[in-house]
Amino acid sequence: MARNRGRFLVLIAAALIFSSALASSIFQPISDSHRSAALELFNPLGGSFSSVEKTYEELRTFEVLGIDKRSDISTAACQSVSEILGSSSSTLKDLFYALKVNGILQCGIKEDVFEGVASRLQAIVGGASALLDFYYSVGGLVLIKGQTSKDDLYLADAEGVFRSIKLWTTLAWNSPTLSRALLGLVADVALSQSDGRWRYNSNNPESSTFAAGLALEALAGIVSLSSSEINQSLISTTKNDILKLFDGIEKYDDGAFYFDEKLVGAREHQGALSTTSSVVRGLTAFAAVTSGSLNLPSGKILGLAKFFLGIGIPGDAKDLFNQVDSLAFLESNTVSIPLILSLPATVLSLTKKDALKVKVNTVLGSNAPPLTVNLLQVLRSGSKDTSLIESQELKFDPENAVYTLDALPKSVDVGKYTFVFEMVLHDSDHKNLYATGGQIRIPIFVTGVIEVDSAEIAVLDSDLGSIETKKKIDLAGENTVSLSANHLQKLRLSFQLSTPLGHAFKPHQAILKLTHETKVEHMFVMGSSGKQFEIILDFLGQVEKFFYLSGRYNVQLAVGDAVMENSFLKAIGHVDLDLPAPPEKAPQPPAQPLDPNLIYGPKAEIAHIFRAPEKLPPKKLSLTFLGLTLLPFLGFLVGLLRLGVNLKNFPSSSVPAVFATLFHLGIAAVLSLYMLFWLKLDLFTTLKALGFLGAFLMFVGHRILSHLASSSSKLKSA
Amino acid sequence: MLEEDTRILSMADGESSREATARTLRNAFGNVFSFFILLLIGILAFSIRLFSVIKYESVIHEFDPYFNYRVTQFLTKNGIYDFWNWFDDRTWYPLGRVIGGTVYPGLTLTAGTLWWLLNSLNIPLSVETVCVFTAPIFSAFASWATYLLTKEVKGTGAGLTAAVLLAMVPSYISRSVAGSYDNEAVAIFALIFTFYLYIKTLNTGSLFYATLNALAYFYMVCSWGGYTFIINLIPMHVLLCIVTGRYSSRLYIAYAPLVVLGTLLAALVPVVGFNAVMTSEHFASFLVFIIIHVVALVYHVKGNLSPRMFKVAVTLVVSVGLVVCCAMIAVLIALVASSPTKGWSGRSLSLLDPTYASKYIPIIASVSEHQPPTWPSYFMDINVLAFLVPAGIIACFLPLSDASSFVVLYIVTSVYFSGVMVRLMLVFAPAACIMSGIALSEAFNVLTRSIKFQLPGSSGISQSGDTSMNTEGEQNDIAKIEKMDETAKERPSKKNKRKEKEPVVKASIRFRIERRLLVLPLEASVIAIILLVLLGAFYVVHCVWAAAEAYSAPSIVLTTYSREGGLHVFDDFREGYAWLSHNTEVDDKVASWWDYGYQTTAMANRTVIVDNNTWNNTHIATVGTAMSSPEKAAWEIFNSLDVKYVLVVFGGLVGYPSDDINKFLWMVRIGGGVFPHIKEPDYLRDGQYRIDSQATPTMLNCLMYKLSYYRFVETDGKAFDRVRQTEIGKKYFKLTHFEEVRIWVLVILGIHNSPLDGSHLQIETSKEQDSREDQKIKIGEHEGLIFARKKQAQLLAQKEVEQGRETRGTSEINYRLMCSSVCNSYNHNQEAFERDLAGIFDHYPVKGNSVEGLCSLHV
Amino acid sequence: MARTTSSDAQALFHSLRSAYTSTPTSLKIIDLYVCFAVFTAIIQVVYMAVVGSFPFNSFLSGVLSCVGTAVLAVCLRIQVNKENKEFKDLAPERAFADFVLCNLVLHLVIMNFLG
Repeated sequence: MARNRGRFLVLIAAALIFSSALASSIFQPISDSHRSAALELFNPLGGSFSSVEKTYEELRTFEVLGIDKRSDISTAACQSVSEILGSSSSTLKDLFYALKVNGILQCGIKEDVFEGVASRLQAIVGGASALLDFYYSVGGLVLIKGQTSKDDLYLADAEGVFRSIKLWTTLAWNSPTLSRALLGLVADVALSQSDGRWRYNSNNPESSTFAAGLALEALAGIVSLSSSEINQSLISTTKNDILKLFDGIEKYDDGAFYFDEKLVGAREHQGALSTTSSVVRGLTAFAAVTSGSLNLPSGKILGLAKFFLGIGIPGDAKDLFNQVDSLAFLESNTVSIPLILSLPATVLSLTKKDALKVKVNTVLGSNAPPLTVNLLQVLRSGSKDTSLIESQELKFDPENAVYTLDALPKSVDVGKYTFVFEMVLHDSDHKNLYATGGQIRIPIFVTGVIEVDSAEIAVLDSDLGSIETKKKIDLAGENTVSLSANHLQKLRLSFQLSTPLGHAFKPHQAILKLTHETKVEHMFVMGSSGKQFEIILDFLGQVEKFFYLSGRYNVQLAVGDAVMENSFLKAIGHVDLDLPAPPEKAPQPPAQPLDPNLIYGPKAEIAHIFRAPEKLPPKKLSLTFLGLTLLPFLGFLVGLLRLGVNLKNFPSSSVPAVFATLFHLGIAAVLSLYMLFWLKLDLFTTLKALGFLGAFLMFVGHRILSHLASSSSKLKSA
Repeated sequence: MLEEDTRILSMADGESSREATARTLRNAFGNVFSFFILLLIGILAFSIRLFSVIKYESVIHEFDPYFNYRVTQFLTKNGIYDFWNWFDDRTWYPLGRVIGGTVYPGLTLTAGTLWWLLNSLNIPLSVETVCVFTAPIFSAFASWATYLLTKEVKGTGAGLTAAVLLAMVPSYISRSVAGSYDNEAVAIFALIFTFYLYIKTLNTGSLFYATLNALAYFYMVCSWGGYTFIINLIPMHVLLCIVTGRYSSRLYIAYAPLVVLGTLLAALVPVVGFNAVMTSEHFASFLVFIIIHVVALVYHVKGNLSPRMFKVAVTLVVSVGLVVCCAMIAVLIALVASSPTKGWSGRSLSLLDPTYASKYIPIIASVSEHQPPTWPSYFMDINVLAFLVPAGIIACFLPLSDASSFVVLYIVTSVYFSGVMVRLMLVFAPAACIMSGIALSEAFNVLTRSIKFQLPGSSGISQSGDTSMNTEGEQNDIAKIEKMDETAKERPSKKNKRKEKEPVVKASIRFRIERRLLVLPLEASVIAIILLVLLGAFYVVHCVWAAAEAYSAPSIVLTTYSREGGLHVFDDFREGYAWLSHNTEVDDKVASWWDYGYQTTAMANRTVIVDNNTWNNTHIATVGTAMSSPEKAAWEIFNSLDVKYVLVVFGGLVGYPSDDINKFLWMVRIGGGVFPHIKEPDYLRDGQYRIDSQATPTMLNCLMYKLSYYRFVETDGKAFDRVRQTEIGKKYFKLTHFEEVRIWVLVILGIHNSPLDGSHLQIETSKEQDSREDQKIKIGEHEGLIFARKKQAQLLAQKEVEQGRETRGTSEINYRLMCSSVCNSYNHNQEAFERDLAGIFDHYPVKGNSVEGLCSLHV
Repeated sequence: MARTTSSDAQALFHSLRSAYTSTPTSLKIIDLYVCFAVFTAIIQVVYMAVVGSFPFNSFLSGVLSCVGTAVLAVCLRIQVNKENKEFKDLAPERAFADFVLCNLVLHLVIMNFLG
């Protein structure tokens, strides 16, 4: 599916190329660009391809393009080929392509292998009812015949001879029946349709052009296989079918012809490229094996060639293969060989006195047979067909096979033209061998230097066109005019353009641009009368458009055209305008388009505002006060000493003493717990620990205090 | 406690050894009995608050509780530390709110601990259940605390009576029914308990109780902003005692540690923080702290000086003390002057000056419970207590102890505060209960004494006993009161013994009183007892009625009686929030008046602009301005806040009085307070607020009016507002920048028209509406709204084109939006559809534009 | 006049001293402790006045801890004072236990508030 889509894309691209090519219908023959593209597109994955078909396509493409790369992959390819041919389980398609690869690579395959394959193929042919089966099997047989027939020339030993003879006899014995069977079957099942298209198999109603190509190839194979003469009626019907097929051909209006499937979206739908190429294969093969010309118009063959060439360089391997393969067939077909006329350069400069060069090649770029090229007429594009010159012949330059017209006709001025050529073959019997395609119309651009003169800029008074200031401008060189005007005046800019032959020249663009300091731009298109170009800006009418912006305006003039070799964008100078003050509800000048950096670029850094830290006192001060807070404590201790504190009340007997110490320890523990709480702990852990400590403390405290109380009460009572 | 009483009692009754054994037996019996009575009181207090669960269901009630519930959920899910530094981005968009630092954590922590405890005991209750039942549990605690406090003041009998009264005082029920999960539920308990501990410390003078007192104060600070009442009341009492020459070192022990510890603990609560020492609500305590030290010094010196020397000392000390005091006062005044708003936060200023709030802080004034109460509300909330309180005060004055003086002070101040704010009835109610408890018990005391003294003792006892028996048979509350009076009977003798410490003067007063009591005739006292019992019965009936009918409606589910008298239950709030949570994007912003902020965040889990924690006046004013400006301006304001939905509550259809139209004037005032272009007079027709045809054009064009009455006329032909009892002024109008997505009876969700969500939301609603139309038949005339579309998307698109913002993307969006809207309108009413389609195809060249094509595209 | 007042003052101070000498040692110790705490508090306040109260919670906890200890000590002194009639039935050991408990709570809070 993806490949299909890819192919469609390619076709769309091709269509675009054509539509652009309507203007210039020039088809370059196959060139080195194709070769490099081939080398890019076919890149063997790890030396060998996913399928034999791909291998074949690559080899074929390289063969046609004359690139010698077979040594790289020959071993791998040959190995896979011999596997496929050897195994009896390999599919028909693989067999077919394996044989084709073998035909290119000449890997030595044993005769008996061929024999086995041939017998399989014959069996298949005998029982086949679907077109593809016929196609592959018959094609396979043809290939076997070709390869073995080549073999038996150098098979010396008896066994080899024997084998080859045996093979020959089988083939010879088989072919009549086989061909009869097939042709009969073709007649009965009527795979062939009335419009020349074919069906894939009897129970598939859809008829397809692609299938027609395959069928033609298969038929050609049968004809080549069958030793005996098969009756001409079938051949003639087939030729009629071909003619009918060519009635259904489609054309682009640059003379390119192509086949396409009628109904899009059929099951195995092929794009126009593959369809056309299959038809071309079938046609050329059939034409090669049948005597007598199937009288096809040579223009259509040429059109097919143009189609393939018009694609340019396709995007994927399959398309490249189709293109190159069918071009190769066209190159060496027996109907008519297309000749391609191409120009190295379609843009000729009058000033450089360029000569008109024409090349004639075959599609693959090989040289054409001797012929003369005539320039019939030269038409100015857009004007009706009145030729500027009478027919004349181009001079042939043998060593680099180029036909040249050394001097362009005098009457040709700068501009766009259409040159009409025709090719006349010297040898008369080439005439029906080659397709020259009659008259060939090719668009040519003739460029030149346009001379600009009498340019001047002036400021006029509005009411009566009296000139206030006028400056001459040299548009070739630099100039900085400085003018000043108010809204009651006008600005006039004028210059003249003329071609090398002195005719009036109307360029594609002649634009006056005023740019205010605030980047507000105003464009004015210059009107022309003959050579004279002039614009008059009435500022009174323009104030609205100028957004009442007074100040300095830079003046720029742009003159440009495709055939003008000296297109320019010149800064003329500046005008100082003073416009009236804007009334309210005056339109605001449009906002300038933002620089994309501002939109998508990094935003400005966000400045975080932090609260200013509170001012802290100097450390020394704090420390001194810390010391001061200790003073009362010292005072406290001193006072205790002076009071003569003693611990004689501390219980002397052991148990209360223990409790007393525990009591003080508990208090100390709680205080240290508070310290921890201040330093690291959080509230709830502290509370848990405090719970335990508190219980302990309560118990111990109760014991000691009650003891003290009892003792004191005893003392009191005593 | 009780045991101690019995001991004292048994020691007490020395004078008649014959009755001694019987009396001790009876006292022990009485004490055990009173314990069971306390148990019953607790059960009563818990169960009387379950009416809301029985009548409705176990839901959280109105606004604030939903926030507390949400916070509790967060706490139970993420733990305490995440809770402390929880920054909530679901509210106050785009500012957000620091929950951990701005909430009183007491309630949340309590419920969280409860939940954690239950789960660790493998009792799997949901957080919501715990939250629902927190308030009743704590009301039981509160009644017990009341018992303790009153017992400290006037003894057990008064304590039990006060406990019973408080267990069912309506004003407290109104705040603590099951499901009203609010700070007050816990705070009242904390308040009473703190007072109890203060009195206890004052009576015993032990540091232990002082510590407990500070801790209780800490719990109070955690629970409620009302802690300032405590920290101002206690210093006042101390000052009172000092001035009345009742200074004792117990007073010092009760007060000085409380100030230091309490201040530190209060500063630990994040929401209070340094305010505990910075704002002048607390300065009074510091001032008294200094004074009490001076006084203590004076008394100390006086203690160990001969009187003559003392006369000399007084001159010196007093002068020095005066100098010190003046210096301190100067310092304080300087601090007050330096601190912002003179150190008084708005609410407390509105306490001192009732007109302050309505003058300066409309937000505070806008809350109905910040309004001054009316007399009926007094009767409603504390009905017969209002008459018993004066008697209680008198009873407190004979004899006047520190404790009773404190209670008197408490009731006087709380009466004043409750006069300022309805909300503070809550503080007033316990005082009233205590007072009337004292009064009742004293009265019973006197009467039964007189009965007893006029009968032979044993028979008297048996008689009063069997009166108790048969009364117990008929009504158990009365039985309780009887029992109280049984136990309260022994007061005087016991008080005699205890009061020996006090000056002998009181004892002589005491005797005179008793002598006066003796002359009461028997019949009069019996009749008086019966009358009192009847009074109590009336009170009980009223309380039960209040608990059942008045105060148990969870205002999130409404019941209303339709004209033919059928009862309709409207669950539209929850329905609306559920709709929000199911049909809107997770981070859509919903704008509504701040009342509904908490519910929206809690139930719909959507981001709101403002909510009930009104910490940012400007933000609320912005919403108020939006609500009271014309549509386009409102659209711009909401757009700048990227609001996507506007929620409006409208009760005009079913007669639900507290809807946004009635709150609208506050929106105008609050908005106008910040944005002066909103002027209140523009919304008033010669001074009165009306929405009928006399209303001002500003009123008729403001967003609130339009959203509320949009297509109101389609319900009944004449657009009669059942709340305002009038026909609305402007009946037929269209919304230009807003678009109705969903209508319930009460809740209108106007989608704030934003291109992207428009399309699919409208499809949603078009589906919803069909279902609603089906229900319409069943539910009846309230559902009279049929949902026809009037699309404004076209206008929106035009606006965008004008603004030149029509990039390809937006135009496509608009196109999609308009197509869908067109389709809905096509499904609903044809002519609007024709117009819109024309509008679309002017703007957007559409290929193959057949209506069905478009609608098949979107519906 | 002034002379009389001054003489009175001297007499006053004399009697004060005589009265104070008669107070038991334990009370004197407590008085000393109170003075110690108060002076510490005063020094901290002076420090605050000098450098400003930036870590306000530290300042508060520092001063309040001193004041708190002073107050608690005063309470203790009141309770264990023999002349004080109100606390005859309160054993000094009980008072001391309360004192210890209260101090522990106080300093837990202080530590928590110290930050």
